[in-house]
Amino acid sequence: MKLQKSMMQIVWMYLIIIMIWPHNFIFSAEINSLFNQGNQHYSLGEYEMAINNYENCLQLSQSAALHFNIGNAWYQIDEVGKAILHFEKALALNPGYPEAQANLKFVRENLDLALPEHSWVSRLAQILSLSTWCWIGAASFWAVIALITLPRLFGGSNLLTLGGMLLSLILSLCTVIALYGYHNKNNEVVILNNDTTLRIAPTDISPSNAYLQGGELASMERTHQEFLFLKTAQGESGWVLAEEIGKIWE
Amino acid sequence: MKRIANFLQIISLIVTFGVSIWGSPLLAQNAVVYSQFNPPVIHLGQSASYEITVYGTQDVSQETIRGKLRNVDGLKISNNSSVSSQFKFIQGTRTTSITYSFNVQAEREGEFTLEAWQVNIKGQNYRVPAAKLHVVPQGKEFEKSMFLKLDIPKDNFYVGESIPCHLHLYLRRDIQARMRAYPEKTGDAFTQSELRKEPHSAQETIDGQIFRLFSWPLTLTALKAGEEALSYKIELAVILPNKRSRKSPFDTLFNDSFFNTDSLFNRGNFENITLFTGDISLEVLDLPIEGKPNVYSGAIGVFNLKTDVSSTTVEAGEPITLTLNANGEGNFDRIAAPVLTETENFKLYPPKTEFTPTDDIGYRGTKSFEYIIIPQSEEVTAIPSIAFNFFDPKTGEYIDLSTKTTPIKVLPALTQSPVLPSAIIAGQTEDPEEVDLQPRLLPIQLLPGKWVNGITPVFKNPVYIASQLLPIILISIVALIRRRQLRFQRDEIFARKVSGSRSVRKWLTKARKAASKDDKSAFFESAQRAIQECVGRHFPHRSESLILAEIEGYLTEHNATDELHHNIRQFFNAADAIKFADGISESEPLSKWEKTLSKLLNDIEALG
Repeated sequence: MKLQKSMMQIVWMYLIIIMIWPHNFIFSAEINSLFNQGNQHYSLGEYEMAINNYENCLQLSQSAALHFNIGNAWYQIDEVGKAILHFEKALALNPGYPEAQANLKFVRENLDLALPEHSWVSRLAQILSLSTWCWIGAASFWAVIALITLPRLFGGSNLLTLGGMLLSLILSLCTVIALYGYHNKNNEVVILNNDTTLRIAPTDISPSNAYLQGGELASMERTHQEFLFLKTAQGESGWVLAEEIGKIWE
Repeated sequence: MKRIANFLQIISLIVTFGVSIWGSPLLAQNAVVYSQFNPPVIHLGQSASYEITVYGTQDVSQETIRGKLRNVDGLKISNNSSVSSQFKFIQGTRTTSITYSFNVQAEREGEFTLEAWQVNIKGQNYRVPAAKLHVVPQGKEFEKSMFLKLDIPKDNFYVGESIPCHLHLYLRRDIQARMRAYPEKTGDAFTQSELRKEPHSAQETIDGQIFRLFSWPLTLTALKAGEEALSYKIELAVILPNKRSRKSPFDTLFNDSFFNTDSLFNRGNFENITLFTGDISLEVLDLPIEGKPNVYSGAIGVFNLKTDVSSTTVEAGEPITLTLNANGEGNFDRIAAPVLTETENFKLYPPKTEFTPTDDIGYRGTKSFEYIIIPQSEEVTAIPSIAFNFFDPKTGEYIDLSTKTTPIKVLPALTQSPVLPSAIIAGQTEDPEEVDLQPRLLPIQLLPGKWVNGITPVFKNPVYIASQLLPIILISIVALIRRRQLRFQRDEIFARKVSGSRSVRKWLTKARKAASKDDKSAFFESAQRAIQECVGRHFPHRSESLILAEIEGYLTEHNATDELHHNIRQFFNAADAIKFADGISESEPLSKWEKTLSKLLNDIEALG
């Protein structure tokens, strides 16, 4: 009986480790090897090969640096829409990624693309990654609950607990705002190709409303079959094919 | 020969009509005949088709249509035709139509009319109405629906002069087009500025029709004098809206815009077309010799010049930055760096040039020239004047804007000559790009960083969701423990009950151990303590000080049985005998005493 119990405990521990830390060493070695091969191709100017290797990495996992390198490779072969998409993805994973911010700015300025104007909510959200905000939100929420319930059992609140509660409340509020900011960004898409037709109706034969430039940002509002209804920062709206855009938060 | 050709054409018509009608069960007794060229406007070299459409209301078969197609001078009409038929049900009646198409080639430009002619259908003569074909020069066939136009503010300018222009593409609103290539210039006497990738777009109404207007601002610069031609073309892929070419008598029923769903359901004809501006003749003049300065900067336009000196008091060998800003409008790309008139006693480096445009095309802005000049000795008293001039095309005169000398004070060199900024030393050429101050794409990352499963928000992760249970459990445990602690502090009886029960268990365990070792002394001592603790939970003072009388009093108070009284007395007596008389005479085994003790404790518990 004791042996059986011990075995069960070991299995549970293993499962927990697998859940929390899915990247074991073998997996890590494989993906790192693909990443390094991609880098070698890039340094030799074989950008398509580099992209191929990086995309294989993406099948296994992803990182901000991987998206950054893919963005660079796409840019080198003049696929600026895809380059911008991957720089945006790198920033989605790590909002404070200075290299990705710099390259994104560089590519946009080179294309004469308007730099997106971020609201203060969006700027607050981008201080930290979404995951970090989620953990901060959970911690501050439970801290508020603990600081409301427990001090009563320990002789009432004092200045320290009130200060802690206030801080936790502020953090919780910031998290809510940041999550709202991320929620707004959730529908952001990048136009992949130049002269993408913004159609009036979701059909192939619909007249165009405007033409979009590769790399432009737009917000996806609804879908109809293979068409998506987009609204651009300039206020233009219309339908594009799903294959003509890339979703940042996919 | 012409007569034979006409005869063959008539025979061909008869055969074609006859064969096709014999093969198709249509045509009407009350037939209506229409004709047209499709498209009605073509450019020279393009082909059109001449279409004759016969509408009927009843089916007929094996009919013969006879007629003589007229010849048109300047048009080649093919002998072979293609036939297509169409059926419609209107209010339960089937109507049919047959269209005969003849290929037509134009031999020259102009407007051609194929006059009305007679056709015989089922013995009745019908009139085929006249049709018109317009043959225009290449690029003009779409001028009513789309055209390219170059707006130039004037038609004569000087060699080297830059002119701001606009290239306009007009597309009627119902035309859907895609640019296959950027507009292309023809004419090597001019250079143009780089075209914007995205043209400005707007709407304009021309003759009551709404056009979408795409404009590329640009500058044109003439390279050589004389009468020079210039033109632009643009290649488009166009989806032309379908023409409702056959006007049947029933079409009027469907002409209501409510029924007009063509734009949604009838795919247009996709066509690659090229639009031309046509040749634009411009007169390019040489710059006048008269009044031309010896050192001419090449600037044409209207400019102002501002100078700025970094310091007017320096040590010998210390660099001074002299900045010249030429702002205004004109041919900035052709302005050469102004020249210092005297350079003796100065060490001079080529200027760093920078242009900051204030418009899209680089026609307006500021061009700055940053000179590093180093006075070599304290004898230098002024920065020499700098020659700058431009030609004003409006007045036709050269304007001199040369700077005056700037007085400076040069002190003897006390310190070592400073090292010049590396960028400037390296920049001994006028081209700033070689200095490599331009921003570049940052290189790739060599390390992959932290791998993550995806961009999916963490709150959708089961680990994250499960982890929220942890604080709930933790807070609950802390709260429960604290509440129990507080009850211990506030409720003495509860505290005694809880601690008493714990003590009873402790002494009972000791008694059992003693029984197992057959240690009578330890057993009865532990048994007595267990009984004291069990009863003592209901007394405010310490349980070990309880005497038998107090215990019996409690038992009497709670109506305990005599057996219980007796058993307790026995345990106390045995314990006292061992403690004070050094032994007991009891011969029963301790295991039996142990059972009695357990029962006794349970009975006391039951009382309370």
